[in-house]
Amino acid sequence: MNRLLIIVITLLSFDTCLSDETPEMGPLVFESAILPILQARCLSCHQGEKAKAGLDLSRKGGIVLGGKSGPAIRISAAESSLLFDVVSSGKMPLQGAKLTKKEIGIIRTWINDGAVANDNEVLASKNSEGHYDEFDLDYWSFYPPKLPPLPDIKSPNLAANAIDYFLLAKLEEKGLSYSPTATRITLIRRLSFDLHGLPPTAEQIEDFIQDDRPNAYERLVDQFLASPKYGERWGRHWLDIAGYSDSAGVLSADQDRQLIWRYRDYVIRALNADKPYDEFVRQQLAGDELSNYYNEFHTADRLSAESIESLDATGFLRTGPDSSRRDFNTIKNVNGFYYYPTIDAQVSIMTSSLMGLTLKCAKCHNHKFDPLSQKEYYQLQSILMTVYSPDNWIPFADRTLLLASKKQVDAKAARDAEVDKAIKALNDKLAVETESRKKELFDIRLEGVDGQIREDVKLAFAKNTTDRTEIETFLVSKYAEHLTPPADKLQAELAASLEHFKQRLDDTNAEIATLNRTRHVYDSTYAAYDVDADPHTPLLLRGDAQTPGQLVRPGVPQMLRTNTSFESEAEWASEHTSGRRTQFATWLTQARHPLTSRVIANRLWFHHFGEGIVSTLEDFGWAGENPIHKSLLDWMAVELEDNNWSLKHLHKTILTSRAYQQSSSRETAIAELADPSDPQNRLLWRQNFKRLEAESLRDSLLFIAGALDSNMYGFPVGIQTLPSGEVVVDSGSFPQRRSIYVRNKRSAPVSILQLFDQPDIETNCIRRSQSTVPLQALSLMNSDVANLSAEAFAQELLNEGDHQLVSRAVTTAYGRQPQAEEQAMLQEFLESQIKSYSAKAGSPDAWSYGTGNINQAAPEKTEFRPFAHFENKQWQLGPGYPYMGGMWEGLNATSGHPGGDMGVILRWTSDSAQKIKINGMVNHGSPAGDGIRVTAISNRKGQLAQWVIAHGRQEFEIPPVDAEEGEQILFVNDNNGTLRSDNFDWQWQVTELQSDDSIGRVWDSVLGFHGPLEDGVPVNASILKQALADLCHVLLSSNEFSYID
Amino acid sequence: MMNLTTREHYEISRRQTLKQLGAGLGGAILSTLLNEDANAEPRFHNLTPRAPTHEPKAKAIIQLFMHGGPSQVDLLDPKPLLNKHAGESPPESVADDEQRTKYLLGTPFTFRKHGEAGIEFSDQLPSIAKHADKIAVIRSMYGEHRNHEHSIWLAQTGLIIPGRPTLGSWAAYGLGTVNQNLPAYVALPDPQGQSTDGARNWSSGWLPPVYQGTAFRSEGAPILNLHPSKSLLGNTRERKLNLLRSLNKQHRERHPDEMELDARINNLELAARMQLTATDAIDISRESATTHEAYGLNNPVTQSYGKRCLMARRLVERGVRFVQIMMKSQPWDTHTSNVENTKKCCLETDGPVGALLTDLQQRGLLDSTLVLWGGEFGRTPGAELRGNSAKGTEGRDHHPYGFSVWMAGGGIKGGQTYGATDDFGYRSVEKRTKYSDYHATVLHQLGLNPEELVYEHNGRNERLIDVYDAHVIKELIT
Repeated sequence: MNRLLIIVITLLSFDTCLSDETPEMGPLVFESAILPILQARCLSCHQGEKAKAGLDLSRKGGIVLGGKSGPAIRISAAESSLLFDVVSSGKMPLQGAKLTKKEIGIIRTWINDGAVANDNEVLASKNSEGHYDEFDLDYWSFYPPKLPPLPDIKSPNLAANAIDYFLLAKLEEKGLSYSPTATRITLIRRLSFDLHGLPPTAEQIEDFIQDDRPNAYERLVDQFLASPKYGERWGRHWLDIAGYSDSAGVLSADQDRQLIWRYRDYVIRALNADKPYDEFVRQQLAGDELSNYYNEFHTADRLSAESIESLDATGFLRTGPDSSRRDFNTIKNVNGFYYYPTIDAQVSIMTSSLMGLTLKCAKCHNHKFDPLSQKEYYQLQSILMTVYSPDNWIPFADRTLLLASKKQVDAKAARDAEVDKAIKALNDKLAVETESRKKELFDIRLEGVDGQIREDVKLAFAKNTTDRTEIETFLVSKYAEHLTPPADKLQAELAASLEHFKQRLDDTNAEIATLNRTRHVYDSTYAAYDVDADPHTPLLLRGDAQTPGQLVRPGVPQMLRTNTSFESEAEWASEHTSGRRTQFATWLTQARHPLTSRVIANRLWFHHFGEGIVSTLEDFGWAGENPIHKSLLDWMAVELEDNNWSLKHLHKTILTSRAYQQSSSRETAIAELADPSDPQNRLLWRQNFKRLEAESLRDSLLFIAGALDSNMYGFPVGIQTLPSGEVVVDSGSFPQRRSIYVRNKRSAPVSILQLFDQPDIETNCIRRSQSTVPLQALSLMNSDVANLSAEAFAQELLNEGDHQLVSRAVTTAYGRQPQAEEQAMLQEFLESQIKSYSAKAGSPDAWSYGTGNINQAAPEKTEFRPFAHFENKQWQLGPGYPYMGGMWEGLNATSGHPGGDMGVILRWTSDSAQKIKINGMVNHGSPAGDGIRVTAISNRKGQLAQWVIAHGRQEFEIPPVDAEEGEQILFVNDNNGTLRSDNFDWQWQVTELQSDDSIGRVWDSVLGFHGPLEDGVPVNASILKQALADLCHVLLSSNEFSYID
Repeated sequence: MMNLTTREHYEISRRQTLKQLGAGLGGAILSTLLNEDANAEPRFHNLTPRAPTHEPKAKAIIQLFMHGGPSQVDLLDPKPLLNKHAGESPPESVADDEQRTKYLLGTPFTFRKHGEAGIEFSDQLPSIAKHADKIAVIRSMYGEHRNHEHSIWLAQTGLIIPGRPTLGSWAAYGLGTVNQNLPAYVALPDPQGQSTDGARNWSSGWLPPVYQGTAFRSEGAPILNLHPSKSLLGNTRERKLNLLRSLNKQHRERHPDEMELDARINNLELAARMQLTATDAIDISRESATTHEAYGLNNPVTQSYGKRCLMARRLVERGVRFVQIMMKSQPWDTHTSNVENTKKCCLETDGPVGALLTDLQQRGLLDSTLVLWGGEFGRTPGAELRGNSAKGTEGRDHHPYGFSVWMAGGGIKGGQTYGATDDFGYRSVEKRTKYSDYHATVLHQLGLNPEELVYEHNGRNERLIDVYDAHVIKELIT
């Protein structure tokens, strides 16, 4: 009743109020500005219990909550608000006069200014809490795992451990059994790729095959699990589900997340150390709270290694994409609008990775399949709200903690102040001296001015500006910069002219540098920490930050039947932190949690068999797969928990099962029986045949080529976008680090990795997709990394001598000896390549290497100065490269570099009168610089052609010409004006054309490349290498290289 | 509700899922989505052609994306009152949202009726205007955000959040492609530089990477890795390929029934063919001098955009499903000197776009090719003043609340304008069109049902139109 009364009063005074106050008003208030309009036009239908469409417009709470068609307004967004839409379009009111333009404008302004009201009571949405019956909750994965009894099987002799009992029981039901055990070569390759993402070395294979101890295989499993490469391989799996990326995803800039690599390193170390999985999870969710960090920060001299590790671990909660930017203020009062996507992503990462639940739909409404309410989604979100509070938002780059105690931070501040003060004193002193030397500088420099005008200049400077003649003004303007340098250049100019001042400046700078070195420097890490002790967590109607509903408290889904429930948060809060995450982590990692151990056991299984026991890795709920081998999954879950959550123990259990060691062949007696009824191999009557994942493929190419840098950890390796758009690792040069250490930039994924299905990290990736497209074949055929790997592989083989090249190549690439027929085929290929290249090499003395500049007036007279020095397979000006630190002139078989003021020249000399044509390829690979200039000159005919090549590859053909005996063709490469990023690749072929225009001899600059001829460098070396590189390339591109049996 | 057993309940849920996922889609997609079906294909993705859900009007799309947001009141949406009241304050009904602009800014350009239907175009779009009877101008578009990136995400991917698949990716996912020697989805970036938001303009988001756009360069080799970058020894390539074929064949024989290996082997052949096809597809030197002239290739102003338009036609002709032409940075973003900058953008693009429409028409391709023109939003009817902008050099600010785009060909009913903004061009008021309506209409023309084109990602059935109440705009289509 009271409210009505107010409305009436307000209504009466409305018109006058508005006209008087509009210009100076603060935000419009619902009760005074909006309600009167609604009262007059809308409330007759939309009010109270029986409001039409369930929409009560009499209070702000009712408007935000909305009716059948959803919330009636979106705060600060009139354009997308239903209320504004229907009144401005005239759809409403159905009866009576439509709203006036002025009234519509008022409603619009009110909404856009944040929908301010005196009565801010939030009405609870009836639909956000689920009402579930018993059978909704009756699903296997909502109950704790129990240790199942081992089933009886007919052939226990086939079982190596419990895993086999469960699998064989189901197989025997169908009259099936296991496939035979795979060969040792297959086993070691399978293990090596599964555990390390790399092929085994020849020695490892040899050792294993020779090992006749009964437990040879088990020893191999132990050995592989103990290698640090295990952490690099399995760390990558974890980073997928954690949504790891080295960039933040902020708009076009996609800025780097500079420190997140510390989290990547934490994951690799934790896995290698076999940190118990429950602790691994707890540390990532609440390492700051669970370690002694806060105590140490406040009381200790320094942080312990354990605290630092725990902070790094919480990087798990800092991986979400973030497109929030504080200066986005075009929509007023709803920062949440920008912040919620980040929070939602982080909730999604947390729940999909650790719980195997897909909650995304519950963001907007109760889950359709699982008994999971919208309210419960926001209760889970509330657990992270202390870290990501929209009211207290921290830009992504600042979500860091200094790895130092308070004492250290204070000492650092004190030291910084001291140092700053001392530096200021030094600078002040220098400034005084600088000032006092002005006159000296003037006098000295005046001496340098031409004697005839010196006095005039002196006089001009002595006068006031206004007194100067026109000539004097000119003189001052001409010499001011030189005689009276401006303040910012003064010190440098003084140092240039006065030896004693230069000394003084150098001394001061040295002192400053010394002082700066005494500052205390600490690293930072992206860490989760509370920024808000008890932030509001509103349930967002329809998941929309602009329609906030009732507030919720932290909580977990009720459908999960745990032995220990999620307790009230008060018990967990401490002086420094809310404890919400600790509470959640503890609840999640309690013994026999329905999901935690099952989800990770399923994940391990997935990577070892290529398919999960629950194939929907991301969904253990109703809509996910109801698995055939539920008991097996439970057995493994319990086995993991009861063995101190040791992942390596579970790996070993899986890997030593007979199931894992089966052959993947479909040509066995079992396959005949099983394939027709179970082509998907869900019963595991064989091991699955698997393709290498993107990182394993790239790493293996490099590993085989001997070009994999095995250094671990640290700042990510840079990437570069080539002019072609290809994104390559670093500059593309070898050796390279493993893919896990390569910068993962959301907006610029490394091309070869992306082609082979490395996921785009939007939030996270629970299961990678697998595609088969022609561009993958092109990449293996033509990408630099494939070609260079092939060359390096060939070089590795040649380094050990030129015996048995074919069989050594096959053994290294495939881990097996070639079969006789295969050997013959490959040998024949190698020989035909050698033959073909030899025909092209021409006589080596046709080519010579030197420097020189084009004689512009008469190109045919261009001077050729032969290089005097040959080292590291390259011609250059002298020893060391660049010679004397700056002489870049150099030429090798495939590439080169011009100098600052001199070009490099490749010269071909004709040994007879003949008709020739010339083909060339030049590649300027750098995106920087202005490119290079290439000129082909005949010493008889002058310039033949000229091209500028910048940031890319070009091919050329010079039409046939008649060459005289002794005629020289010079291929001059100069820097096109500036010496910057001028490295180039090139190749030239001079082809003899016979009288019928058929091809005669061919001189190829790559194949014919040579060092000093008197040294007897065998020309054949480059031909053999090229032919062998072709063979290696084919092996590396073949399907056998990309698949694991 | 009757009391079901757990199992029955489960089956119902499951059937619902299946229905939602699969209804109306070809079996291939369904089976790739639901690997657990015993008879299904293994879960790997490719671009083999897939049947649409209904008879498509458009087989291909050329998207002319106008980065920066072209000004509707200067080009497609004439507002006489804006000119009449130029210099005055914005009308009260929009003033609160227009605090960044100072006064109403008229347009110096003149609008004339074109074609039989007499739809109006600015004098800055003379070539496009010649096709008035084939064009449907939507004057009632509105978006949700005032920033470029957010609006680009909305326009290309359906929501104002990053990381989702673009329209082109959905087309490739839904339909595959008929020419396996070329990618299904090609982006033609400006050789002068990246557009705002870079490669994300053709990203497949969480759809498998096979559905992402492939950027073709308009200079040199069009596709990444088409040729080895550091070698001229091309004539040995065939021998290497032969050896590779032999090795793969032997490997395949040792692995009977591994169908994926066939796909790999097949792809090797496709790749080998693509080396020829892709180069040929963009080799505009094969086009006649008349065509070069028509697309403006002899004029330095139009040459760059014209070249990409011509490439787009060649690609569509060869069966590419979706071609996207981009402009460097965001040239339509006329915060200052709106008149001069809008003119400049029109000079670069109008001629080539007109030529493209003519060319498609003459080759009988326009009926099956949907051409989309538009940016991420429009521009304010009010003047934006920055620094010392004087009369005549005012700019226009970002404006998502009412703006224009156009469509032509591919079953679009030309010669019409659809919807309207208010008297000053501020706000979409009649037949308001949101991006999900726009996307629904485009998918519909391709023969895809926007409600049912779904991809399961992290347990949710994702759609281009997300959960919007999206409508195919029937008035726009024949």
